[in-house]
Amino acid sequence: MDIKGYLLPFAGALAVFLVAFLLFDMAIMNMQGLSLIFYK
Amino acid sequence: MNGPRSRKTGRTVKTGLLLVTFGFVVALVAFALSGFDQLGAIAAEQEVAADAAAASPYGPAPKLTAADYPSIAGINSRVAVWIFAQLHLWFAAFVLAVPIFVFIIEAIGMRTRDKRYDDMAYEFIKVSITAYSLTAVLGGALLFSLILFYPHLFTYLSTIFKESMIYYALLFFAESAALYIYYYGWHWLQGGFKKWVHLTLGLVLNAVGTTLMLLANSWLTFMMSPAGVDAAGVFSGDAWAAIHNFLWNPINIHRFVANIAYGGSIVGAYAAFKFLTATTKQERAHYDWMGYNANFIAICALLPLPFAGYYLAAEIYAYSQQMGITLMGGIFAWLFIIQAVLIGTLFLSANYYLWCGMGRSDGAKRYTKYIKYIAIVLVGAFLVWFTPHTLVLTNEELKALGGPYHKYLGPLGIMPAKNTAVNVMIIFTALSFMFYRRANKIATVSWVNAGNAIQVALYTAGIANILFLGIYHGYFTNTVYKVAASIPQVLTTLIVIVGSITLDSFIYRGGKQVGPLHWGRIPGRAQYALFLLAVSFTWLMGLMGYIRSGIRQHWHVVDIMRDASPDAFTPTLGYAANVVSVAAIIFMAMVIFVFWIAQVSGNKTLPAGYWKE
Amino acid sequence: MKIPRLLQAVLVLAGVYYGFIIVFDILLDAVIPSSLLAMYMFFVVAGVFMVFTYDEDQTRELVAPIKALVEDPSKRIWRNIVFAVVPLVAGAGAYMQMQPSFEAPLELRTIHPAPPTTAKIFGKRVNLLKLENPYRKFEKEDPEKFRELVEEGAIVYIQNCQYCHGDKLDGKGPYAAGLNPTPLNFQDVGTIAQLQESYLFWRIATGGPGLPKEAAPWISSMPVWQDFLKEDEIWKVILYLYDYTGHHPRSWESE
Repeated sequence: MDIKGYLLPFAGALAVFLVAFLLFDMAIMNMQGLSLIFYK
Repeated sequence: MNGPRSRKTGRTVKTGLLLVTFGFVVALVAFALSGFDQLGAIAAEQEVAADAAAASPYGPAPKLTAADYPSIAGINSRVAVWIFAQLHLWFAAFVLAVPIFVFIIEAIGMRTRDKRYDDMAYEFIKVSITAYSLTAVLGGALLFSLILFYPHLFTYLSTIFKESMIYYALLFFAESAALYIYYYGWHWLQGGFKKWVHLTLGLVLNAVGTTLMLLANSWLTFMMSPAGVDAAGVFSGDAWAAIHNFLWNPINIHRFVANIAYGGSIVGAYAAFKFLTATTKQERAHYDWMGYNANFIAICALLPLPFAGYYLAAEIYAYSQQMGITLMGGIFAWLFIIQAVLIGTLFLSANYYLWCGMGRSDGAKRYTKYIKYIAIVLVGAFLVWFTPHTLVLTNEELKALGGPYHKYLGPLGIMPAKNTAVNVMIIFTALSFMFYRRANKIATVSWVNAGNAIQVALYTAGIANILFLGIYHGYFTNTVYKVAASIPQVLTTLIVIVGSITLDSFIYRGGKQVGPLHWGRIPGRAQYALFLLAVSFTWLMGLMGYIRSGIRQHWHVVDIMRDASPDAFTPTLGYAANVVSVAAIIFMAMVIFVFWIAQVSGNKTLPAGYWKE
Repeated sequence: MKIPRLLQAVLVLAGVYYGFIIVFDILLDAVIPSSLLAMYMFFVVAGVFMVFTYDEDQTRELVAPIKALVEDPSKRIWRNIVFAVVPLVAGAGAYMQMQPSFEAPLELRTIHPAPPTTAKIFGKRVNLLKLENPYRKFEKEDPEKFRELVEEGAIVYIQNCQYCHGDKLDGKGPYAAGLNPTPLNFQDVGTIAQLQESYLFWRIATGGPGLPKEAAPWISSMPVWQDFLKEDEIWKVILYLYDYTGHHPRSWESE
């Protein structure tokens, strides 16, 4: 397995994406904008 | 005055013209819609004035008895209206959708200057021309049967929607005019400025068509979630309030997207039909290409469709718990299992078509080894997607389980599991498409390995996030978060799809082609996948349309106008499914007629010795 | 040695089928309903078909043995055997399916029928769309009082409900085994977690006899609790049901 060319970028990108998605979830779930759709 | 610069200016002017027209059309539509508002206001003022003299000009909704429903020639009124409405809707969905993507394909052709696109767009609109007159005929039949069989309902609705019905009729003329000029003027309005006029005409056609649909939608959503009337059904005079009722926009969004997917699938079936009957290699190549594009349109519109549907269902639930439970937990729940099965069939056949299509490229071998894994995930997600909430158990199984609920399968029966499954299905369908795109390409950038690694990481993180949202919010928080979590799930899916396509376009920038694509090199089986797509869509629309209408139960207008006819009961699921299936077969027969008539105009017979020389 | 593709396909299908049975019936000790397994297998077959036939060469390989069986003159004996055995197996299958059994026919009972818009409860006509639990507000406003109410609900539950619905609210009370349909399991994510409190109020107050038309055949033995409990007792017991199971009633308000 190509460690430097594949595994490192994979691990790095995975970590970044996971954190980004988590922050994104928190932002959306707490956002007031949600009430635009679920206003009841 | 000649040279690249002035040509560019010319194009800018034309783009500007198009934009101005578009703005004008939007303004017109907005004005027409706000017109109802003003009309309503005027009517309301008049009403206030009239109130002083007499009571409201509008009476309450009539209270009917069985004697108010004419029985004509022993015809079952409900079935007559049902079948006409359904056939009208199928054709209408088709003829509203075709101009939308014909417009886009025509624009792509103008941009790329590839005549094949223009020819394809023309062929698509040709198919829809016959369907257009059938739509009008069936619309007339629906109107007649409503007036004949349900005169009081029609009278009540027309007192509320009288203005919009007039506008509807006028817009229908505009629609016909725009469509006929657009179709018959296709070869006349070619090249330079004329082509822009033609494209603009396409835009007008779409604007009018969409407005027509919005108006018709408001009538039926009024029957589900009445607004602008009081509890007795006395109309306030505010037509806009009646149009802009609670479920109007959820239905509008859902129908708009679904129509495009449906239209794509029908023209896909047309291309498959032509492919299978083609006699020459060129013809096969042409219709293979056309089928591919039609399938692409259908998939693009299919991907957001589950979300539009979920939004509609969530709004129905929010509007009335009673309707919501009738819809998904009560008597109609089993039709939703059929729906789930059919939607899964759509995804599976669309994927199968893509996989078969990889045979067109000589470079596909590098990716086909992954297909079985995509299939495993798709089928797995699909099984979760249609696992019913209430299981059908034999008495022995009931005893073995100790009750009607299954510890492990039960939790798969509720919406969070379904949402998660459908997002995974969509992501993997997108993945199939990515492989298809890559099949014929070789990347030449130096960072190709790292790029692929980032792609894989994006998919992994996206799927992990979807699973997290589905499991955590779906099972460990309250309803508001359960429903709300579907939004970041959808957005994650979109981010993964858009992100990976963007990244891919960078990886393959300046890339090489493996070889020419062999259009027409696709097994006949793949064409049957296209047929399956069209048939599944048709059946699905019929069944779900019945549910949408059926959740009103014994009401013409929910809680306001009661259905007192002998047919006010909710039929058994088997009966309803039979009616819808018969209607679907009639529709399919008519569609085959439309396909046949589209090619008959190209047939020529030379009768030797018939005419005088 | 390479396994022929047709055999591969058959092995995959058999593996999935017995995999389901082994996992559910043996490892998890919760049988997989045969109706569901049939549906699952239908689409597993479809998936296997798709994977084995998307490529022209591989499809030819897949159907080669079948083709040879039908067309190859040297396979005459095999052909005759297969053509005799297949109809026999099909006939036996049909016979087994149609054979009458002592098993009662399946019943599709709607467990959560849609509620009516209004219902007559405690002599009043109440609008079920708007009805709310009068005590729910204390969850935030006065947590101590809320705890007290939940405990009062618990007493009502233990005195009246646990005989059937169980002391763990899992539908396995001492009398449960004698009832068909079995009492509801409130722990399940598909029951009270999906419903509004007004729905529970309606079901508890009017019981089996208050079931609407669509819930045929109305065989629930749930008593009409409005004849035995007071209105506030029903609301308190609802608090307890949600509190104990950790579920939240369906609502449209964020916490």
